[in-house]
Amino acid sequence: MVIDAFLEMLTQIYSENPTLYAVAVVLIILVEGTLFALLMELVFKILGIKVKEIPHH
Amino acid sequence: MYLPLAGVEISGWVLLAVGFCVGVLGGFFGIGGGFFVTPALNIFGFPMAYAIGTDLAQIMGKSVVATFKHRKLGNVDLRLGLLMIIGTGIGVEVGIESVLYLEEIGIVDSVVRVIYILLLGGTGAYMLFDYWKFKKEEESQKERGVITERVGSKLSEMVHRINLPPKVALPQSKIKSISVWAILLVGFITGFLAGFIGVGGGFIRMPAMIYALGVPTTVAIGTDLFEIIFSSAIGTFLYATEGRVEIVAAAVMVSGGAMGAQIGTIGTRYVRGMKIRFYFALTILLAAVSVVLKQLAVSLSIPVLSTYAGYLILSVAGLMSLNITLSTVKGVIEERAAYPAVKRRLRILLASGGSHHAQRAIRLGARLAKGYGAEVTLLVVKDPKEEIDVPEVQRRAGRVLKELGVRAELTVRHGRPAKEILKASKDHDILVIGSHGTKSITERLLGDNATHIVENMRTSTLVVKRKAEVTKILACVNLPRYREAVVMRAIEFAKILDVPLVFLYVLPEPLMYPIRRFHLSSEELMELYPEKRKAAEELLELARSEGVEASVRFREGLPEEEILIEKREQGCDLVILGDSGWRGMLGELIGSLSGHIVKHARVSVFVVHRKA
Repeated sequence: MVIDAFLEMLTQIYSENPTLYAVAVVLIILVEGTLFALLMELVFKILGIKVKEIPHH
Repeated sequence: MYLPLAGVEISGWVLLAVGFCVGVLGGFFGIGGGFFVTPALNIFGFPMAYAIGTDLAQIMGKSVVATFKHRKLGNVDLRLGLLMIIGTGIGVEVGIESVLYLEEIGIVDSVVRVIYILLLGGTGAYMLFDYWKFKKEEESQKERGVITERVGSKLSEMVHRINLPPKVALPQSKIKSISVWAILLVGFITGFLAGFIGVGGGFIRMPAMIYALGVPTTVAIGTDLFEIIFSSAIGTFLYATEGRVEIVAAAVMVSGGAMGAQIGTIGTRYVRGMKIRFYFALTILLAAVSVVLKQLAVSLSIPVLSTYAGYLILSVAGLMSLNITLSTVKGVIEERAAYPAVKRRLRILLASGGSHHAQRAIRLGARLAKGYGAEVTLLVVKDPKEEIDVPEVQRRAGRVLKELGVRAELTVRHGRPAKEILKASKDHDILVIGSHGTKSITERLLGDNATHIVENMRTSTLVVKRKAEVTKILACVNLPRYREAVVMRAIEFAKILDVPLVFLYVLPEPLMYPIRRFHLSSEELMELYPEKRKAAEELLELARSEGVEASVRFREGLPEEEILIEKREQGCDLVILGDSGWRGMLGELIGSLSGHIVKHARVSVFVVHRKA
């Protein structure tokens, strides 16, 4: 339901201003990526998995 | 799940699985993965334009996750990435213009496809050849017991020699100095090729950074992903303005890709650089076969070949991501089983200038490294003022390491030994150096290289003196700094070297006594300080629970005197204490307790710094 409303809003933005729509798409994906990156860090922290500073090869 | 823009009905699980696979490949190889996702989406019913647009959006999201992780692992060279972006941006523009020109004269399709095949096939074949060469070299290195990971190539050496200002240092990529123009040129060429064949270009940029710029494999992967965020963002923007991005599909794939990217990125920790290159070469060679099939489908008018090409690339990506996932899981399990007490493997730096005392240091350092299961780097510093036969030093050190069954990465630095050792030690947990002791009057007054290093270090340092053998350890446990770390290391050392351990408490002598008391025994002092005695008993308990034979001694007086006296009385040949004192110029003037002990003790000294 929420997704449908959200998609409808995006479609409306696209019909009115495609550039604004494109900016919104880029920002949504960037924010999603960042949130996922942070979420994964949190999951790793909770699970106690520490993977850092590897020797470069 | 129905996707209204593309008019496609597709299962969310399929999108998650595709996203996961490309996430694994992207995190591991540092590529966007467009060569796999676009045909996959196309096979699942997406019209081509939507497949490309949606693919670009998910590449961007997945690259953010993978870059974040690589940045944490220290694999992203921001300076290099930003410079490359400039060159790449211009290159892509010129590439696209060239395609438009070829389109005008009507030969664009065949030229682009042939160049694509040549690039994929050529790069893959060269990397396979390079891997085969490396394997042969490795065989001969195994004879010496020293394993080195090759960084760069003859081409990168030539590129580094380009003396065109401005020049820039890239410490993250272990490049001391490189012309900015060289980076821009490599960026331009890779950008041109990417723009010309219409791909993101990760599969060209990653090998270009390794072979043309001499960047270590893992840094090339991380930096390439950083660049991909920008290039895919531009692509997503352009396709989105045309309404060709299915944002829901992209979002679902990013969530799958986020998990895959973690596995792929962590996989770079467990698979050696050359092996990554081997897998990469195999993948792009098979991708080349898929493009050849597509070309044949068009040239010979056999459409079924195009379908086979799609399935081939899907199978390659699926199998490769499965292989990477299994390697990562195996690596994690093996590491946990081998080193249950240590969450991350210790990194030990063995520094050598080729002398006998350095050789002793390598022997003791290697024994400890073996006990810890540590990653070992053997550093040879070539002082321009001295004649050092580096291969001979490596060979001698290699013999000791081989004898003890320790593998080491090899590094050579040029410059003043103390300075270079301090620089190199920053990336390590323990530094091991040899010292001949203070022989000359100048050294007695100012200290030798080892004293200088200890007084300026930021890493725990083991200074090995007269002998590599240790029979008893003295740990000074009540000095103000790094007490816990001293206790921990002392117990570990005693356990690894299988020797008894003495915990020493040096208590300050009270200034105001009605009658000055002399020579209070350890037992008498224990009675006088019940709290300290209780703490000491806990330490003994801890050591014994680790199977270490331990005892406690109390002394009263100045630490710099009492430590040396106790060491002599107990017959200890390794002293462990926390780092103390000021750093830099002030430290040189005032001196420190640890520096004093290193200078005056005739036995080996381990100074624990906070990194422990």
